[in-house]
Amino acid sequence: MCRGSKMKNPYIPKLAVISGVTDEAPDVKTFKISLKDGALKYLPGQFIELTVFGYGEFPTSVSSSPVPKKDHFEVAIKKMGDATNALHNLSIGSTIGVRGPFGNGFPLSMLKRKNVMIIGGGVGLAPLRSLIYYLLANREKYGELKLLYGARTPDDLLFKDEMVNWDMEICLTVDRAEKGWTGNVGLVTTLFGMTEIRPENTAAVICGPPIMIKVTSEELLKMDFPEDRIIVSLERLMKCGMGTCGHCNIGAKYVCKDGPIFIYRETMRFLEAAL
Amino acid sequence: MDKTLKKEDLWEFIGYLKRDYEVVGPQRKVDEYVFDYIDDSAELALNYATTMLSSKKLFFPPREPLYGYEKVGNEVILHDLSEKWDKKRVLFGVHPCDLNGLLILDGVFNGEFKDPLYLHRRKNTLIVCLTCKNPTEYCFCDAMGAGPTIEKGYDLLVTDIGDKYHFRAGSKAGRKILRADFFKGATKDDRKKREAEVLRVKNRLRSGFTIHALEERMKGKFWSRLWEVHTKKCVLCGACNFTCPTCYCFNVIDETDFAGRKGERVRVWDACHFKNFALVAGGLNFRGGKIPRVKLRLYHKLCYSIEQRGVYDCVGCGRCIQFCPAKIDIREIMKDVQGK
Repeated sequence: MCRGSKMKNPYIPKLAVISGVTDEAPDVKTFKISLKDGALKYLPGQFIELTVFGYGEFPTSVSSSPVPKKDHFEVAIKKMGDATNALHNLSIGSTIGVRGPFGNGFPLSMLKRKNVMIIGGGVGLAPLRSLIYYLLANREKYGELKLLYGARTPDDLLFKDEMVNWDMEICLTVDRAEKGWTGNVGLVTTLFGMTEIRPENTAAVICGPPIMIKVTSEELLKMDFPEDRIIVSLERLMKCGMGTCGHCNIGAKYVCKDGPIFIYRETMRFLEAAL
Repeated sequence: MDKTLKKEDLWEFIGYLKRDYEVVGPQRKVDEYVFDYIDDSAELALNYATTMLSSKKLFFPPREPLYGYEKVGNEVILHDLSEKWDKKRVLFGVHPCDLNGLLILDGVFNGEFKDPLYLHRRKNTLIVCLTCKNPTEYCFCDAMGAGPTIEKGYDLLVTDIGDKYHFRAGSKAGRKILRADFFKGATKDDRKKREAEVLRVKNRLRSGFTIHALEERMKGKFWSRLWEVHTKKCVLCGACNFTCPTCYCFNVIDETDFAGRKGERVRVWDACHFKNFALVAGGLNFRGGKIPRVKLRLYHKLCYSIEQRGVYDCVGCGRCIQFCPAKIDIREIMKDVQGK
């Protein structure tokens, strides 16, 4: 009689357990998460809604790659507000809630046979890490891989220890040099002059603070990157994850369901400025 | 199928419905009309003008629990708190504008994503729509093509034709109800009276404008100075958001006990006019300014909704005009955008 009552309540999260915690940087921790029932099926670039019971729910990208297959996934969380602070206080064995995955994920088939230049800022490297491990696991399908990554200080650079094992060119930069940093100092765009970039067959994938995405995209356009090969991951307030609650809209689009990954060219067609 | 009901039999008919259904209808409360459940002391106000809140609240309530949680050691126990009715409901006397609003909400909550909480209420509610009798100075359903009568979406459509009510069935459930003894077959004369009544109300609606290519014109004027002018008086109170039959933005919040061990996650109405609408943790506000927030509501209704669901999210009920403390009039904005 009533189809509605047989449908599952989409707001109830799946219960999950924290199975590992690693310090990444001041205020950033990686949490290893295992669903109590089954494994999370997701694509690089998709996000989940994570609940810290008693504090609230927040959207976060998944930082691990779906391949090779594991029974857990990871998120890298920076202390930003009440719920993320509360998550930092939890330890191994704590129960949390997970909804999702939501969103579209990176355009993996579009990246095939292309050089992929990944550009990250700060904690924006988290979803890009998912993509990096995915690309490395399918190395033969993609061209040259490159990572340009910047953070505030050397301490704020995420995944430093594992990066040395990534089979790709990596250029790092910081806003402020500290503790014997001998690398580049400056915005991530200052790395453009230090590596060979061939816009003809390269796609750029950017995630970071909104202003960094904007400035980086504009620099790429100046270097003759076509608008349809600049891929950006956008942040908005994604509350429901299902294109309904209205908070994450940009013009007629909802970042939670139409994104969070957008091709630069499509963002130019939005009535409102996306960047 | 159409029938008639003598006016003096209405209350008995409502009693008949109450045997199988909860019945909700318009009632007078202090100075306003509201939709509420009908008990024995209630009086149906079928001559009502506009209720303060639309029938939206009956399907998408201002606050509704989603689930409860309880922490026991490292474990968490969850309880589904979504409503499950054991008795169906009749919404008696909703105006065509509000019913059109409901049809718009169907596109939102029964679209790409299905919202079982909304759909449970929707599928278990019979709609008895009432041809509007008393349009107010704020009404412009004629411009939006959303009133004073309607051709779809109802189980029964009632029209006051003087000493009787004319009933038209729009569904199997509606036809079944019309088989009750209270009803007499409608005559040619009854139908004529109904047509005359609809015409009388149509003639009272004189919004004086029509919608033509509004979406395109909104697109063209996104960066126009007219938004500065039209948003100037707004005090960002959210009254238009909450009284609107099609505004559906909501927030999801946790209501937790002091120890942080037990609580409920609830869905509450939200308003795009509120300062924190697009504020993310860390302090970045994607809609920090007043103009982008006020514009969002107007663009969502009169432009984005066409791309999203192929309809304008406005039914001309006039509540946003009636309840605006700054006397902002969406009709004037539409006319200005369309260039009269």
